[in-house]
Amino acid sequence: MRKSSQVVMGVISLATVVTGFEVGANAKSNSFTAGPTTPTDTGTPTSNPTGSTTHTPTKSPTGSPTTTKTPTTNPTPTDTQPPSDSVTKTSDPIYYRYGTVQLSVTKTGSQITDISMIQAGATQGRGGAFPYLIQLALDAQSGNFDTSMMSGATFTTDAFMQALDSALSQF
Amino acid sequence: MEEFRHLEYCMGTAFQYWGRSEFDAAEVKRAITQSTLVLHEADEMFSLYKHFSPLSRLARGEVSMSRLPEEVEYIWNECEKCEKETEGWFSAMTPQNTFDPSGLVKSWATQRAANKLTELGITDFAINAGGDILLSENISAGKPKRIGVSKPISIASEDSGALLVLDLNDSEFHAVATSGNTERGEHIWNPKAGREKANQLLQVTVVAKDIITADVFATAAFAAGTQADSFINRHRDKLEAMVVDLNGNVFATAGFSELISPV
Repeated sequence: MRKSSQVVMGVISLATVVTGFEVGANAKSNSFTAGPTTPTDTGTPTSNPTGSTTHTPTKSPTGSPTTTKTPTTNPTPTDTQPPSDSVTKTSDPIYYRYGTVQLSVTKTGSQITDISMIQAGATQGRGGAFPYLIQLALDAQSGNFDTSMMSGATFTTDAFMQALDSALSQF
Repeated sequence: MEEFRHLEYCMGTAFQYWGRSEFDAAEVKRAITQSTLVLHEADEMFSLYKHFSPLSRLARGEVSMSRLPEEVEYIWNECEKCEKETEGWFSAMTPQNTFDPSGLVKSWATQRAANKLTELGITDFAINAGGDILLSENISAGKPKRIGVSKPISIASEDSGALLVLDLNDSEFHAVATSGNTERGEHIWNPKAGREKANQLLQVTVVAKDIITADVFATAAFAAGTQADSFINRHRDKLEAMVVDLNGNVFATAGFSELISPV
């Protein structure tokens, strides 16, 4: 007989653990402004904290991202005028199986403050991961956990990070 | 102490290195190159996507195991061991009865890549192997020991992000692995149900002392589906775990809950 931990699997309330980590808002625009924000700052919680079903279950994972939205449109981040001491570099265009990726990175001092897609010609919704990857790159330098150290189902990579590396290597 | 980061593409995913070292940048780079070489060697040997890899040749029956590098037999034996330890829920045999050890190879290679880095004098680091995380024995306390766990939805979805953060600072755990169908579709077999794919859960996250245990048991618990909770409870001497069912309900061991920290 094990000790008191016999009944160990219990429901834990999602309300206590769900965070306001909202990438979705960013997915609507290609410009990611104003530098380091902790994940909790980025918006209202996306899930309702009832402790019950909060996510729309991804019922039929086909292997390819289902988001059809690709951040291909309005590639001009005009609204956000970067601070005067910031520097922007543009990556080489990265050609890959599903299209072309090119992005620009703005740094203020040593901080990445903005990443914009210049080209994101992914097909079949594969570009849907780009907003996530941008957020990952931005958050990696702030907050109280490093978002590059996030555990999840094994993801497949595409050209995004190559493009990011390409831009960063120019600083 | 200089902080370093490195991203290496291998096995169809990204390996993210983070660490701190007193070495200069060139020395760090050399050490990381050595470490990533270990990953690529494993990929060359075990990839079933590479037509002429030793494992592909073995699968086609072109060559016997005794004529292949000793690592192949080692992995074969390790897979058998894992199958026993997991009560059969982890299996490297496909429904077609071919040997596919990819469920073990990535974390095994990651552990070896980490050992290489340690051997070369870098001891304060973490590696995120496409979603499965290894923390070195001597990793700095604080933020590096705080690990996010992804929501059980694809990172390509609009509201993807962290479901929660685990704080491993005061624990003995050095690995976090997550299994699920959210990124690559149904790719895990239920070894006890013939040709069926495992699809009774959204996601399983396992925390353990080492990445191989975490990865193998996350895969096994995911395959166990509705039996995951009792399976996990039987193995709590070596892990803590969290399960998200198809309705989005989150279940966790008490020990896992204690690790949860505010984002």
